[in-house]
Amino acid sequence: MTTPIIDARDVAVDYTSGPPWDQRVTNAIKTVTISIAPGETLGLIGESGSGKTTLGRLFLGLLAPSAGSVQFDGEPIGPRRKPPRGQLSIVLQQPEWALNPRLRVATSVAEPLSILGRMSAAERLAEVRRSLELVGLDASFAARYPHELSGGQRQRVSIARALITEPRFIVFDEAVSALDVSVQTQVLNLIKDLQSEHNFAALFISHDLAATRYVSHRMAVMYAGELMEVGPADLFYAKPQHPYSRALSVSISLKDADVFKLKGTVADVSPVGCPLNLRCPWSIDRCRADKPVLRGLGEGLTACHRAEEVAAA
Amino acid sequence: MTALLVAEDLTIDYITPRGTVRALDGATLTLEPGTSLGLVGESGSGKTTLGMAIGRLLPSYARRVGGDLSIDGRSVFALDNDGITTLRRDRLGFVFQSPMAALDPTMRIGRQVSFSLGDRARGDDVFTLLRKVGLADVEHVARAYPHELSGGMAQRVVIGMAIARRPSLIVADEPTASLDASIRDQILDLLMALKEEAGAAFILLSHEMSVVARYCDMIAVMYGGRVVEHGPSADVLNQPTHPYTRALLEAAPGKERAGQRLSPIPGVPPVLSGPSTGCSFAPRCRWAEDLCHRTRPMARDVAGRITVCHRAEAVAEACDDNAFAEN
Repeated sequence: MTTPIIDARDVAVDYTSGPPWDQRVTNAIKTVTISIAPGETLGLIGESGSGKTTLGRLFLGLLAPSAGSVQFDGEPIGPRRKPPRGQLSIVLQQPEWALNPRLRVATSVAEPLSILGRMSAAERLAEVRRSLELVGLDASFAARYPHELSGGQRQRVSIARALITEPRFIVFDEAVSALDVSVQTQVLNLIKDLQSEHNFAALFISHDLAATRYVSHRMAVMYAGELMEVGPADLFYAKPQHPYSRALSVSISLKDADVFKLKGTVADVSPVGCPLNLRCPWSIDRCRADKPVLRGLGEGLTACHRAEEVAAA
Repeated sequence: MTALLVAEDLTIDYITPRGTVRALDGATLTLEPGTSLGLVGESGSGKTTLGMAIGRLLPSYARRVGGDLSIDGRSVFALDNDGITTLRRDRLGFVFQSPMAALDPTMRIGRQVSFSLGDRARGDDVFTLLRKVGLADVEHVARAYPHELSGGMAQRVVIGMAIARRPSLIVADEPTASLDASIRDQILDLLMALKEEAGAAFILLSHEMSVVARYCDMIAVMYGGRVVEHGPSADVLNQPTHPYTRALLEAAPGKERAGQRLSPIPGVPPVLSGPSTGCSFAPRCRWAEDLCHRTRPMARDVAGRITVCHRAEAVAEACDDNAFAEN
C-alpha cells in the first residue's frame, strides 16, 4: 500500500479562550482519524462550527493537535515541524481578501516562489505565465491589479498561486462559495481538470454538498468536531447512510425534506450519547445513552445506530 | 386582488464618467401581498438595481429613463421626500448584502435599533426585538458597537431593524453574501420565520437558484436588465420556458448523475449602453435564431408564466425529459 499524503490519527484540537482565571475550552475536533491518498480529492462538508477549517489547518501543519498526530507523506508535521515548503498549498474562500490589493497579479502569484528563493526573477515570471495559462488566464493578467478582475478571475488567480510550486497537496477552503452559479461551475471544472492532470491530492472544504461531491473522490461529513460519515462520492449521489448527511442533502433534493429535517441549531450539541441526538428526527433512547462510533456499512463508514434504517429510507 | 408592487417597463441608466450603462432595460414585475418572490440573476443582471428602486434607494448617478414602479398603486418616483420617508419607514424593510455597511459604526446597537422601532420605543422593546432575531445575551449586544459583533450577529440585528415596524414588504439583497458560507441557512430560516409571522411579502435577491427554490413561492429570473421569466417556483424549476433559466439550472451542481460533467453557460453577461435591439441572451443561447438577434422579444404568457423569449414553446417542450424539482 502506498503511503498516504495526509494521515491523521486520533487527532483532537482544543481552543482555549477567555482570561487566565476563567478559561473556557472548546473541543473543535474530537478524535478524528482519516487519511488522504496521493492524487485523491477528499470532500469535507458540515455546518459552521463543525471543525472543517480547523481540520484543514491541521493538515497544512498550521496548528498543533492537542492529541494524536498528523503525518505528511510519512513524516509528522505541526507548527514546530514544518512540512516541506512548496509541497502544500491553500485556496481561500473570499477571492477579494485572499489577494493583496496593492500587488500586481504577477507579484502575488510569484510570491510562493520568491519565498522558496529557488529561481531568478526572469524564471519566476515565466513560471507565473505558465501557471496563469493553466487556470485559463492569458499572460496579460500578470500586470493587472486584483480590483481589475471579476470574482471568477480572482479565484483563478488564487488557484494559479496555489499551483505555482507544483504542490502535492492543496486545501480548497470554501473556494467556490462566493461565486456566481455559472462561474462556480467553471471553477469546479477547472479544479477537476487540474487535479486529474497534475495529480495532486486535495481537501475540498465546503458547506455545499452538491459542489463537493462533484469534485471529490471520497467524502467526509463532520459534525461538532467528529466524523459522522466517510464514503465514496458515488454514495452521496445515491443515498448517504447518516441522518446528518441526508439532512445536508435535503438542500439538493426536496423529497426527503420532512423525514430528515434537523431541529434546533448547530449550538445544540449533546454532551452524552450521539452528538446529534437533540436535533435528529431519528433519535431513540439508545442514541441518548450510547455514543455511536464509525463502523463499516455498505461502501462507507457511518457513525449512527440506525444507519441501516436510514440507508433503507 | 390588487398587487402590492408593480414595476412596469422600468428603465434605469447609470451615468458614469466612462459612459452610460443601462442597468434596467424595461423590467416588468408584479408582486401580490404576502407572497415571497425570489429574484435570481448573475452579478450585473440588474437585480440589485430593481430591488433598490423599490425604496427609491438608487445612487445619485442613476437616471430613470422610462417606466414606473409603484407600491399600493402609488409611484415611488412621484412621491415627495416626506412621502418616500414614510413609505420606507412604515411599509418597507431592507436587508442589505453587508451588515457592517448597513449599521452605523459610531452608534451602539441598542440606540440604532431603538431608532428603527420609532419614537415610543423603550429599552424593553429593543431587548424583545433582539431576542426575536435569535440573539442571546441581548443586554450585552445592545451595549456593543457593530465592530464587536460577528457578521452573523450583525446581520441578525439588521434583520431585526428591517422587521421592527412590521413592514408589508421586506427586500433582502443577497442577505448572506458576506457571511460565512455555513451560517447562511440559519439567517435565511430566521428571515422566513419572521416574514411568515409578520405576514409580509418578501423579495429575496440571490444568484443561487437552489436557495430561492427552497424559500420562495415565485421566481423571477433577471438577465440583461429585464425580468426574462416570472412564475410559480415549481413551474419554473420543472419546466423552464426561457433558455437562460434552463442554462442556470443545468450549470449548477446538484442534479447531475455521478461522473457526469456540468456545462457552464458559455460567454459572459452583457453590459448594455442602451436598449438591446434583439434578445440580450441571444449571443450565448443555443436556441437562438435570426429573429432573436433582430427583434426584441416582448413579455408573453407561456405555460402559466410570463416569459421574454421568441422560442419559449420550443424550450419548454425540450424540458420534459429533464424535471429539475423532482428527486
